[in-house]
Amino acid sequence: MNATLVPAIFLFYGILSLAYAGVLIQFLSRRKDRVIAFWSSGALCVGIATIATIFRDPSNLIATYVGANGLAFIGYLLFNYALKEFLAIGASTKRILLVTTAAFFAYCFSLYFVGIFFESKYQTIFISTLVVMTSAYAGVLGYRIYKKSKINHAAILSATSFLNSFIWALRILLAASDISINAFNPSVFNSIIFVCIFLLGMFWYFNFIGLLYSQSNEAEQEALSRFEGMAKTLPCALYEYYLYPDYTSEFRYFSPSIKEIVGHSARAIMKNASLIIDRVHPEDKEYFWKVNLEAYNSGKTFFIETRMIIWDGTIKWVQLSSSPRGEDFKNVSWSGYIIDITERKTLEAAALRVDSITKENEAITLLLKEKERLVTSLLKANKTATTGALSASIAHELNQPIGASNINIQFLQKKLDNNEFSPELGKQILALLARDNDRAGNIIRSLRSIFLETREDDDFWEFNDALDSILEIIRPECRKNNITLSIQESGNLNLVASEVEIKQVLLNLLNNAIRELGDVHHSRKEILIECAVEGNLAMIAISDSGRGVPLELQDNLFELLSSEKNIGMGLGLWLCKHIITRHGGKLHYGQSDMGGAKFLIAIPILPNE
Amino acid sequence: MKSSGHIYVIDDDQSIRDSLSIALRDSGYEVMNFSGAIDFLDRAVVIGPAVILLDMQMPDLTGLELQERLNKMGRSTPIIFISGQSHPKQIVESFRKGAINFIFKPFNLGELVEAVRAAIDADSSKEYSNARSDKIKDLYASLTPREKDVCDLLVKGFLSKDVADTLNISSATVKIHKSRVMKKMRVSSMQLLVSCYIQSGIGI
Repeated sequence: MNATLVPAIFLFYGILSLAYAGVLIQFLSRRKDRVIAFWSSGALCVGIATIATIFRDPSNLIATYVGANGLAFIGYLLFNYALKEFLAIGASTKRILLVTTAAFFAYCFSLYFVGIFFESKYQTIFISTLVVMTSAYAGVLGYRIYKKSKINHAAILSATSFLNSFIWALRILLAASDISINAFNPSVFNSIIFVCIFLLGMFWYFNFIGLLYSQSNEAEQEALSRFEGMAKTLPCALYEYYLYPDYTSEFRYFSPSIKEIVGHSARAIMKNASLIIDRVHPEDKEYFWKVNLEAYNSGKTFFIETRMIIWDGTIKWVQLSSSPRGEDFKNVSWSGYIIDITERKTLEAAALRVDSITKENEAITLLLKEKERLVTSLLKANKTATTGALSASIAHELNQPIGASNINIQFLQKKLDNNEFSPELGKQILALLARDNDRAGNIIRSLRSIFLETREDDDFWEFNDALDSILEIIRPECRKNNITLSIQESGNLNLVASEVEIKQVLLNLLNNAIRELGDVHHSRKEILIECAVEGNLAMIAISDSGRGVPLELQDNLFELLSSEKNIGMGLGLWLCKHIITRHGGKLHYGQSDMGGAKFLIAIPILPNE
Repeated sequence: MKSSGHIYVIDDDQSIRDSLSIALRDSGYEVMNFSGAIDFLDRAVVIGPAVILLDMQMPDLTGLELQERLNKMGRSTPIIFISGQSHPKQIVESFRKGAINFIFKPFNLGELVEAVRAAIDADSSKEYSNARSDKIKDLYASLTPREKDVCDLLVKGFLSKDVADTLNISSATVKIHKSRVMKKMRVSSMQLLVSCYIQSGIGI
């Protein structure tokens, strides 16, 4: 073989390495990448080392031989660091510098001392062994890269490295068997070896480029697909917005999901921004532009929740936000998102309604409570009013027995003074006094029972006794007005309701009848009270011979304060109905046989134990 | 001082009627009870001297209405109103229509008895004077026409001589007529004759 072949290969490889390193370094200025940095440094070292080897001078062994080989070794180390960096398991720059510097000196000293104490073949063996090791490690790293990234170039790099190891292992063999020690040995074996090394080296370089390209491509693809995937699946649409100085808008990018929101495709919007901008609700437009220009002029984040009218007329609530992509916010695009918040707004409105309904409910509850309190007061007032209306006759009625007793007592006194007292007379007078006293007492008792709030035996009382008590109070008034009272009692009746309240109802209804009969001159003045039992209901009817209730007032008879004519009566009837209904009964109005009014109470009876 | 007389109690309240009856009967009066105005008008035969004890508030006719009726009927029995509660107007009206007294319940028995006594006395003196005036009228009716002329003129204040001139008779005739008149009229002096005239209201 030509003796100049191997040196020529070395030269070529060296120049190639340098050129390669130069190109890679160009990349670095664009993209700061540690992988490229180390790799290019490695290529640089290898290039310098390879060329230096050609010009090695036996007289200056250290500089050329030792130095060159040391540099080459550093180069391989740097390649490995690059691969490690690729795997993201690299070390810090400081450490790497430290290690490589230390390794360089260690290598050089070792090679020098091997050369001094041993034959030159051992130097070759030393060099080759180290290359085998670093290459093998590179192969391992390459394989790991392939496993991780599935890039084919990594596999090839790995294979290349292992082959390189193998070839250099052959060199160890050749050197050990004294066939070829010197790199520039013109033997066939040597030539073949170095041609292979050279080819592998080229492979090594170009596959790295391929790896880089694939990786960036991968990364790019991954980023793109990730972005596209996100753009499709995110619940919002992403956009890139630019506002010209004349305030025209442009969407430089819109993600596809905008179609779901506004019905127009992203492409259409990118061609014509007014499909979005002009769709802002007329009432919200002014505010929208105010916020938009504020953001534009200040560079602060744009944020707005606003309504849009979709092409089919529906109104949607959307939230938009964007930020400038650079410091020069007026001259850059703004990146933003738009999201459909109609549902949230609807829910918010619904929540507000629920809130206000709850508040209304609370207010209504308070009103109902107040109503109850008012009704209680009305009941009390009604008691006073009805008994007040009868008070004149009641007072008169009380006056009679008291006045009579007065005379009787004075008469008795006179008799005693004149010593004309006799037991018979005494008996007679006493009888009268007792009778009149009872009479007064009954009226007072009946009155008191109307006003008593609670009784201990409220559950169990006789209806007829209650009725008698009421009649006691109204009889004077009836007598005064010449009204006849007729009562049809039934047997023992125990009602569900409270005694005081039923007495109040009876008093009210009877008072009304008396008012009516006393008001106008009637030929016949009669009040009829009938009691009967039907099933589990007590039917109590109070009829009078008056004029009855006019037809037009009958419908609203029991409404609160409905009758303009007689407010007291209107109130009383409402209270009666309220009391009866509250106890599960009914109060009706009808026409009596006597031509006047008839009020019929139907109220449940207490079941017999 | 007890004087007999009739008391008519008109009150719708049993207790009042009972107590009044006992007390007033014991004072020596005849007491009759009525439960109302109609009852009184139907049944009562008033024997004087009498007084009516009348309640104001009654179901059929009120006290005032009964008083009005009695006035119309020409009945002059004195009325004492007894009442538990009366409007001032009613009280004034009752007096205007001639009530003799108004007493409020509850009564003072002594006061009531005194009022009754005064009323009975008033009634009896009225009765007496009524009887007297009737008697005088009868006596006057028994005079002859010529005697009536003389009597009238004498009462007017004419002297005997003037009477003779006026009637164109002799003064002796006048003297005879005068003594006949005095005898028939049962008076002993001119003054008494004049008082008879005034009492009975003859010829004035």
